[in-house]
Amino acid sequence: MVLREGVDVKLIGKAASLPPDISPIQIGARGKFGESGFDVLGRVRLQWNLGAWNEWFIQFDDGAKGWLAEAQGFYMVSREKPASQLPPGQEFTVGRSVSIGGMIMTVADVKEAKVAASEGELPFAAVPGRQSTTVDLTGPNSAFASIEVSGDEMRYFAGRYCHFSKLSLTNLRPVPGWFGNPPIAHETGIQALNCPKCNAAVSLKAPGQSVTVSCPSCGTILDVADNRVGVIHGAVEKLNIQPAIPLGTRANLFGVEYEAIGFMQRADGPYTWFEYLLFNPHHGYTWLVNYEGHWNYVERLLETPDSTLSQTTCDGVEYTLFLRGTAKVRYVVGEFYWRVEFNEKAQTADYIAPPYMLSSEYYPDLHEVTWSRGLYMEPDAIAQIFGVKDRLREPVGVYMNQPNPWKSKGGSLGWTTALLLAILLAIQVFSVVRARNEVVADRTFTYVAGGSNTIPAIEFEVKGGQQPVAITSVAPSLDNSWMEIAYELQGIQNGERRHFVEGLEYYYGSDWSEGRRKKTSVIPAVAPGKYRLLVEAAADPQIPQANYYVHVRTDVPVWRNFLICLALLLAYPLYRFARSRSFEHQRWAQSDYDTSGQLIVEDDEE
Amino acid sequence: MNIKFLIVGAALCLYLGLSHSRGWLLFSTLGSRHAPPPGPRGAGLFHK
Repeated sequence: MVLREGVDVKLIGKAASLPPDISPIQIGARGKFGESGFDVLGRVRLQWNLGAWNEWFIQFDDGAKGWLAEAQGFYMVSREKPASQLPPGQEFTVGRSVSIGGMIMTVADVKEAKVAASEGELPFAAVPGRQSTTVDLTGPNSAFASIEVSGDEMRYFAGRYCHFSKLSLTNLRPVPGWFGNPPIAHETGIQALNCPKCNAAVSLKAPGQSVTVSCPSCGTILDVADNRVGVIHGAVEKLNIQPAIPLGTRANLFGVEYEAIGFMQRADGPYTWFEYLLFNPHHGYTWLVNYEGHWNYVERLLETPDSTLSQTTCDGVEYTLFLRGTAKVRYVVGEFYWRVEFNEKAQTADYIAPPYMLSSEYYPDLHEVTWSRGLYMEPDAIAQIFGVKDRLREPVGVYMNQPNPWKSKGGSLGWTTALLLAILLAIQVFSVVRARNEVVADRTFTYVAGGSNTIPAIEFEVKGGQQPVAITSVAPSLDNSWMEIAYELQGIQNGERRHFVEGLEYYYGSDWSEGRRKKTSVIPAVAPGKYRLLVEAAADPQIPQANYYVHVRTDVPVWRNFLICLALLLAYPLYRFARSRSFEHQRWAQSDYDTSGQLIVEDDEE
Repeated sequence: MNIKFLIVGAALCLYLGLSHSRGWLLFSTLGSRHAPPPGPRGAGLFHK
């Protein structure tokens, strides 16, 4: 163990040996944080009752010192700041907001830790067993802070979370079985243990990071947080559940190769779902969550979103509360980076902005709250990525963040419909304005019962182009009787003949009536030219005599065509709208909240 | 943008314009050019 004090270093003793660790970082690695390069000089391995993590001591190119924390696949770069910057007398409880240096930060977790081992150059004597209380805080823009209290000493570190890819690390330790390295045990490679129950060999995919592993032989749940293997839980009742994605399967998700190393079943009352833990030595952990055939790719968030009771905002996107519940672990197989407790309950809250969702899990006993973001993935995509086409079940119902297939992206269908409606209306208005609607005949005739009732032909001319001609028939004196007027339109020049019969009737009682005394019929596509209209009336034998009127108009405006085209045009958008509404109704039928995130209170029936 | 819907919508607009310019009346059989209908009540015009 080497203590660095300023520019001096001195050997202060021999550290306990470090346990096998899959971390790719080693002393001598070089990286970059922002514009500053740094070298890795030493490491402290810290342990708490539910896991362990590495704190790498780094020196920046400008000589400043700092720390690169590595835990559960997350990386935090920080520099020590004066403890006087902390608000005095502040209590740090999980979930509490604290103002530090003008920035509002949220306490993410509080834990008791101790030094397990150390190596290389360090700025303090990291004696094994040295105990401390650590408080981790998160803030906006991936801000990170850590407060360490050991005895009377309080130290404060401030920095940022960052992704592995942003650190530009070089001279990394080769990870066996990854990135082209052969899958053989290195001095810190894949670790093999023996189950204390059945003595079967248990291999760890992520030594140094995995805390829980199930014995593949007897199913005993083992604690592998440090070098000693303990039993967390006896063999869990073997449920007849086969992971749809077999453990050990590797696949490329969004440009990163992950391996499925853990599988668990969780439940909230009668509702159960499955979670697959995916691991990459550089990128850490991510999840695939499967519920009733629906899949979500879930990443833990580096910062705590802004949230109210019903809404939460992350990266400028607003999410609406959909579900609150309590989740329990029912079944596990494989490895996990925390100590899995079967009776441990997490208070959960899910917020949605399809295809995304934000989930929070609060563990009261652990004083920890975590946030994650899920992205809905189609089952076909999962099947293709993992090569498990025949093992996936069909999705049932609508999932909370499942994208609505009937909603067009960016509302493009709405804009297209509006544009087409505008064009249709413009055409109709133009047609109506242009129509001459000229009265070419307006005659009055008298029907006489028993007479011939054939009248002299009405002659008129259709001018211009092919056009509709309207004939209006009126029998104003119909009184519980009927009249029929037969028409024949004869083209004088073109010899065309068109026939139709107009039936008029009007019947009524004290509180009812039916029929019409006036009707208009439109003859379509009448060619220009001179015409003769023959008219003959017939009526109810009870009518001895009655007047009737015939009005003829040419080039009349027609609305029927427009209404038919309008109906045809709107059929598809209305269909999609109805399906979209139905989809959303199915989605929200599963929630205790309405679409604004307010709890639905049902009236009690008396 | 939904291309198929746009094409169908454009076709409907075109058809509407055409129907107005040609005096068509969609789905109308009025003023048939064919043989007159069978005798209505009492009408004699077509049955002389």
